[in-house]
Amino acid sequence: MNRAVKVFSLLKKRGEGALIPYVPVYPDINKTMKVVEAYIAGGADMIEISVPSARPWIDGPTLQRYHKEALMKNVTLVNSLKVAELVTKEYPEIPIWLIFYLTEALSYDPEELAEMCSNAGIDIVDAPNYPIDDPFGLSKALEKREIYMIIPVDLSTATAKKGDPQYKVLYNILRAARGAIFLMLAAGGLAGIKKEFPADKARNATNNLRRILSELNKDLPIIGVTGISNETHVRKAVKDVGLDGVMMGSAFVKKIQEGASMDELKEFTRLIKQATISP
Amino acid sequence: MIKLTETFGKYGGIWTEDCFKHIARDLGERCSRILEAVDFNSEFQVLSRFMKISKPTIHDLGEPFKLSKAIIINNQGVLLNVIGGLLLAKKLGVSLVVTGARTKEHALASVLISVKLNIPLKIYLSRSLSGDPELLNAVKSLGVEVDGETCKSLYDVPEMYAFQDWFKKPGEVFFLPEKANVGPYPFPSLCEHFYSYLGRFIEEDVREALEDGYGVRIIVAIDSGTTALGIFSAFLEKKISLYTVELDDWKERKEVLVDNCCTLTKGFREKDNTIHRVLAPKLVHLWEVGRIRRIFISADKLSDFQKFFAKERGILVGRASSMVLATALDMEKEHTEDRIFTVIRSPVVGVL
Repeated sequence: MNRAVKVFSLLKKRGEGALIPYVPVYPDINKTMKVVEAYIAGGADMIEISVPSARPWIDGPTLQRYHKEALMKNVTLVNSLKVAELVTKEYPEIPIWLIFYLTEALSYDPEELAEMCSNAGIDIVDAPNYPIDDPFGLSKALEKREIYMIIPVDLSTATAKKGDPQYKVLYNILRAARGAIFLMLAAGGLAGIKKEFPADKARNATNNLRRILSELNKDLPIIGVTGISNETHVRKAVKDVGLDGVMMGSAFVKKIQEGASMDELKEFTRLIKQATISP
Repeated sequence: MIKLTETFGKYGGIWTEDCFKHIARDLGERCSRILEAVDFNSEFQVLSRFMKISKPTIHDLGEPFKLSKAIIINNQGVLLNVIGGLLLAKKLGVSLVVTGARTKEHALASVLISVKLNIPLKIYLSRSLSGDPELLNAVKSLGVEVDGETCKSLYDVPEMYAFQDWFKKPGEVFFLPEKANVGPYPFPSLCEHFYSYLGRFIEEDVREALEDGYGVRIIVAIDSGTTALGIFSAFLEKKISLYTVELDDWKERKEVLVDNCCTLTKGFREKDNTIHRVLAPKLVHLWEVGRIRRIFISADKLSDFQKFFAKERGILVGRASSMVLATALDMEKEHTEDRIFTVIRSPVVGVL
């Protein structure tokens, strides 16, 4: 069974939301592993390992800065998978997500890439702009190995009702979804730290997603992503909105870029994780 | 209806989250309707005259060429694209146009025409352009918002930042692409559409050669391939041989698939892992289906040709023009009877 599915189910029983922090693979594997250790010691339930990209257009300035510096250090998909392999060895119970852009992924044959992911212990692949009709057969190749590709939905699409032009799109996305769904909380779906948290919209969206999922006889965790920066946002996302967890990128990477020590990073992770736990 | 939402096998199209695809489709449909309206075309012509766009000059190249003609284009394509894009933005009723500029010509044309049309413009400058104080002053003095910092501190990809601004507020902002290699459709198609006036300008001259019973070849040197697509667009359905020329130093770089802000195409990965020279997806497709032939030329050959021209004709021919002319000369040496049209830019010094 996919480890992410197992952990989501466990967290649900415990009434906790999942915390999935983003792992920048930089400047080398040893230092990246220290970051992973801090996250896990702070209570991260899963981690998302990134692959630096030459065209990270969905990301804001914080993550773009990381991508660029990592590329200059020759960090590639192979290095990111090496980190995943080490994490799998050290922390076999921690599910691993891998995020990549197509520019980095499509230089591999889909079957080869899926096999590499499987060997490294990847549970979920986050390829932000890969279409659900699977034109390269990547989703299919991953699914054969019990690795799920997460599909993102923006707030406006997620609130579409029957009769709205976007409803069909939403229905197709949810029908194709496996493992979990990303609900993009930032306007336009662009990542980066945002001040405002759209709680009301997110609540409507989450309820609508759950209703359609139930019609499809599916029970998938809905994970908030983009625009979540602090424990207040996380508390709102999990407790007020009812999301099953959060994936956070820029907020963690910013701490690392600002030179936070591993203890500080662990403490930040602990604070965020605490916000996902019901009182 | 003008088709603005094409895909070419795996290239082009709308490579974004499924939930955002409707944004690009809606824009494509609205743009098609505007482009077909009579008032758009008449205003486009008026602005083109205002910006002094004229038909490219065509003349014989003279010795050592026997069969080749030169089509001299300068910045007509850049101007046509900016006029068309900004006029379209005005008709769409957006409150801001964003663009990224890698060339001074695109930056200046965007600024001048936005002022003329009274449309607010934000322009991201590439790292090299942001170091040009004359350009910065000109842009700022005309009241245009300019970002010369982002490309210095992050990726040197100005179009990516402009595209992000559009993506955040697609109803209020219009993204003006500089080249036909970025963004989901309709953006690459719009750019190609406006550049295609170049092809229409020379259609008659090329047809005359065909009517005389000769085979016809057209050669264009490419960077992204936008100008080539614009020129070739008038001839894709005709029995004319189309060629692009590139310097083969690119061979040292790895050609890879690139997701260039929601369009899938090819580009070149450098040793430092950055991507340079992203090709227009339609051009990549037309190479792959064999409609356009791709020619590479070595730097040594180029240098020999430039030296020859400097010595014999007293002209310093620019790199892109030299690539085209050297290729034409090679073709003439094959004893072809075909008439060869070479698309060149004005030489740096001297008159060709």
